[in-house]
Amino acid sequence: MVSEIIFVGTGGFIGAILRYLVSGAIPRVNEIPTGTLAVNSIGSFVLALMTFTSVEGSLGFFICTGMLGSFTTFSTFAYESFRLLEEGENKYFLLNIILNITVCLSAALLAYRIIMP
Amino acid sequence: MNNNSSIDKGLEILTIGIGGFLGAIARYLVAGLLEPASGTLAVNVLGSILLGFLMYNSEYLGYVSPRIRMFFGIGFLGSLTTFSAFTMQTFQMHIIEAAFNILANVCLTLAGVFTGRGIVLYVVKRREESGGL
Repeated sequence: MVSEIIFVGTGGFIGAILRYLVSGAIPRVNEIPTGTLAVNSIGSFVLALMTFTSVEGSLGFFICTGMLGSFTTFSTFAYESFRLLEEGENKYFLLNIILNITVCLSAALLAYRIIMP
Repeated sequence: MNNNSSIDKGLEILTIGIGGFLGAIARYLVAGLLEPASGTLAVNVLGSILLGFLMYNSEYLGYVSPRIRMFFGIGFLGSLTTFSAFTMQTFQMHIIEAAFNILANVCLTLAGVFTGRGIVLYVVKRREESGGL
């Protein structure tokens, strides 16, 4: 239990820093917060690869729960979407939600096709 | 000058990392209390309420310093909530259940941000009524 927590936490430390660096390096495209979309898509793709290759145990806690869980984020996605709605950018509000959901699910499907031909 | 700014950058990154360390552990413990998909929904909604409160607090009340926003907003709450687990859980569901899971996460986290904002605006209103304190 304690070692699981340390694995998850250490992964989270790395994942949060990587998210900050990667999402900060990508500028907004029109009104769409592309940085958050990028980390969510990359993280979903890599988690799908890990899941379909059955990564478990300590490595699973470290990479899947810790690192990829923290690399991706739902709170920033919800906040940024809400801001678009508040600013009256209804079109981009919907587009941002649809993009995050469809690109991340497509990334999982792509990983599935790669691992399980 | 250059040296100072690279120390600042290093501190910034360390602050976010420590927030991420604690946020990931909190997610593991809180989500672990429930079934996988409900656990993910719970941390996502909880994190969105708190992020809404934090961001609108920093905008309207000004109690939140940039360093706290980094630690708590980007580090802790960013890591407490997760999109990758949400994607995988949705991907492995049947279509109806998947649609319901997407709707629940999107609608409830947006409602969460709205709630956090509402609490801040309520405090602002109370302060104005009590004469600016």
